Amino acid sequence: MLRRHDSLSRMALTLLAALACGVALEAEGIHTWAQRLGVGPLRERALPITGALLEWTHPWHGDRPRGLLLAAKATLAPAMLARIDDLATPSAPQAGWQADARTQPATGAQMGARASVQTAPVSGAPASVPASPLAVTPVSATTPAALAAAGATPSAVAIAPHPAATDGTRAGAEASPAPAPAAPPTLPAGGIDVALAGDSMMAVGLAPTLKRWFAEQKNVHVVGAYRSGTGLSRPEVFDWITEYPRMLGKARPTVVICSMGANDAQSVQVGKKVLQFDTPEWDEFFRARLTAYLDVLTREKPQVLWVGMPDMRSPAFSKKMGHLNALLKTTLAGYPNTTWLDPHAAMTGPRQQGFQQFRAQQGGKLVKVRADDGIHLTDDGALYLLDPIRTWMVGAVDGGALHNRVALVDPTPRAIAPGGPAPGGIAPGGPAPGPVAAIKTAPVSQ
Amino acid sequence: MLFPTVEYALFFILALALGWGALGLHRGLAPARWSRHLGRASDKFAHSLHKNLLLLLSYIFYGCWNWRFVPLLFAVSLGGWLATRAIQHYGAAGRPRPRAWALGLGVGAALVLLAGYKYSAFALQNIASVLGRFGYELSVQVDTPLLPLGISFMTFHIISMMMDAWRGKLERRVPLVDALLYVSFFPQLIAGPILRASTFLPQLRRAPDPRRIDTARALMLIVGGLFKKVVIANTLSTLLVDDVFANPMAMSASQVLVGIYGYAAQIYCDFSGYTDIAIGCALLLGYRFPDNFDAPYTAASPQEFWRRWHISLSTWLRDYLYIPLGGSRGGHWSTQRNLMITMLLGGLWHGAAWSFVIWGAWHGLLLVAHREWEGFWATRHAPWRASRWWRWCARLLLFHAVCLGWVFFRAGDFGAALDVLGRLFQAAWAWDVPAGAVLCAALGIGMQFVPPAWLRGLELSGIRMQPVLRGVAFALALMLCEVLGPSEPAPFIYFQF
Repeated sequence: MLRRHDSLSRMALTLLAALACGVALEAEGIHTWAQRLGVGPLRERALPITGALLEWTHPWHGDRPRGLLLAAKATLAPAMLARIDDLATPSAPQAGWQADARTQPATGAQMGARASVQTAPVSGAPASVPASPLAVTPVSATTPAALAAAGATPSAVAIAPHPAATDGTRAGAEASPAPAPAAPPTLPAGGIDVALAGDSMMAVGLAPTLKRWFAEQKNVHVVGAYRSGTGLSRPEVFDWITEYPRMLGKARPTVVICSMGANDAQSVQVGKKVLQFDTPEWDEFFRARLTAYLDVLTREKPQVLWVGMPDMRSPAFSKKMGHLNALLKTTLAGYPNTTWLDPHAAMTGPRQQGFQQFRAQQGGKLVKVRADDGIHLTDDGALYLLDPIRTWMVGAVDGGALHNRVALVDPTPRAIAPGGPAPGGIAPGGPAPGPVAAIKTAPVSQ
Repeated sequence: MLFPTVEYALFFILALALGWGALGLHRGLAPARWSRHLGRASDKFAHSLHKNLLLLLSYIFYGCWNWRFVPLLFAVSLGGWLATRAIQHYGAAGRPRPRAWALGLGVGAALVLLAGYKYSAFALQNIASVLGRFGYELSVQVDTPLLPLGISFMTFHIISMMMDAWRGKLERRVPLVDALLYVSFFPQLIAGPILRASTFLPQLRRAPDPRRIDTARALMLIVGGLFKKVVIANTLSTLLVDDVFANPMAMSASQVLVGIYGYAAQIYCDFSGYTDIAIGCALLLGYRFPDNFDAPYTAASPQEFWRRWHISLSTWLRDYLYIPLGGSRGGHWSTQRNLMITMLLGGLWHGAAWSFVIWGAWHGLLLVAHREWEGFWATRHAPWRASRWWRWCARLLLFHAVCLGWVFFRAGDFGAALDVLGRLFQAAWAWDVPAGAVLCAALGIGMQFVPPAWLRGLELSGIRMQPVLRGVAFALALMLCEVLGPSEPAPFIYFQF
């Protein structure tokens, strides 16, 4: 007779067999898990055990089935595991109405949309001048007084282009010489590639908002090169220096927007030594990692905007982010064509308070700008950064070899503030008269 | 501590060892002569130790997320237990008035707590918006408190305990440790399934039987749940769905369409995967949880859909909200009203946002419209309506209606949902959808049409297997899930509710 239920001993035997077999098959995966643990006693105890396990299984090929499966997955990946971003190529974009226009005759609605992008009335703003009332304050990242002045100005945004960016020389070159470019920068015939890089501070809120805005632009192809739960301080978890070029694939971004650091305020282990966060040793380690990453990031000489960490709900975490911001800012100062964006002023508005989860818009509407975790931005919160980023983009695109390649347009009213008037400092007060307000109508090279 | 992680695997192995170890102390592990002398008292002690250990482990499980909320979990459970005991006490004493007060205070306090954590900021947002329209600017600093994980589920559990005590469904006075464990039992603590006090508390009265463990079914549920979550749901989210809903304006119509189907498959695989793992883990510990999903996309009517989707929530809403509102006893229009109220509140339960209210209202409308339709067609075209093709048409229609609801559920706000839907009509159609996403969406939806007999056959072959072979097969299946899924673990969608 078939016995449906097991006794405790049969269950224990089943689970012990599963455990023994699973540990043998997954020795490498378990060791990787141990490596990725936060630096501390658990990791210290787990690593020798999982390392020994790996050494034990390796000689008799216990990890071979997993290796074979991973190899098969890697073979199938280009065909089966390609993301939308991977499928898109600048020469044959698949997404957006630009692609639509090429692949089939436009419908009436599409034609209307295209016409609005090119000929919509300017919403009270002169062409090629930011329509925002925001005072964009170019300040040197290395000048605290200037930063303070920028911060003291209500609704001012501290955008700090590198001083060397104008003359093309690189200050602080002694930090780490940039590797020679692998290939000359190639601009896509139809426009520019914009890479969005970073951790969840980019992935949540900022990237979706930027992607929505870029979808309204002419000839801008976005490459999503961000990964949640990563950072620069733990290369054993995710090594941005090697992974970033892989994430870019064939794309050669001419503009990079990066926001990263929320996972970096942690102790790290170098060899057998543990470097505690906010110590000179840690700072030196992090600066070296950051420099190496920036070398990779700027290899093709793109314009780089680094969005700093905003204030966090937890004062202790906020303090850590402040320290990280200072490190990021000073390191960036050694690179030309890099710009630091302090999100504080844009996020908190005229009151200049610390962390704010909600912001009042005109008309009293409260908009949630930060996620419930008190760390990430919401999509509506990211909209507050859109204007400084747009302002920077206009300058970046204008100032370089990208002239005439793109036409940047304001976000649509819905993109600014769903269902309500725009918040102060983001867009002209009140709803825009047209669906799209063109601030720059440079001819498009098509 | 997410289910598909090494941390949880280690934790669960410890829980299994301690849980069964405590029960086996006096029987299997202690010398036989000790057992004879210990007798029934030792049985009781072992059972009590078993429950206390599971309770401690549940608090550790919850504390791994945020220790600060463990006292809250304890206080909520304790409050629920006090109210339950008061209801039972006054019921036995024949004092209906204080009994009603105990129920009212208990349920009220639970709802106030839930509202305070989950809906206060939402309410203030809307008050500010309304006042703003009349020219008054509300000058308040709003900050949503950090939401304790699973607060909606724990609230529903204590309400179930109080209501079941009120209805006399609890046979005897609930011991404190049983009440605490009922609310906090770690496999269901974060995202259900929502257990009924009247069905789970009796399980806690007796020690799990070490001779009746449904190992094959448990392992099948765990592997199936991991496959659904790690391989299908996470892959869909990574390859297509997140991009489509983050930036619909950059997508082609085909990407948006498959993205919507993909989200339907993703949310099913994510949530049913979670509950399958929870049910499997509980089975290995000797406890039975109710089924939470039963191939929902095979439903041919909204009523049938809600009998198959998140069954523990829909039956909870039916028993503790719809029926107290009057159910279908008050005539046609009051039934329709009660349905709408239940679904609206069910939508709001999912989150403090108008998109969830719209989703609930949409499902309420579907239920109401279907009742009207049924009334109209009750005596007409019966043979047609009984035919297979009619059922397939109904399935197809309902599936798309459900998908429409998912767009509002996922998009975040009304405008974003309209953007997604608008792309279906405005954008071009092209063969530009990631193949992996198409395959996963097809798998996630298609697996629900697998005949139940096949699954029973699979389970039977698991039962027939030798334990060691079964363990090896389980390990191989786990490895397959780990390798096939995306590299980074993603939290379960229902954790946020």
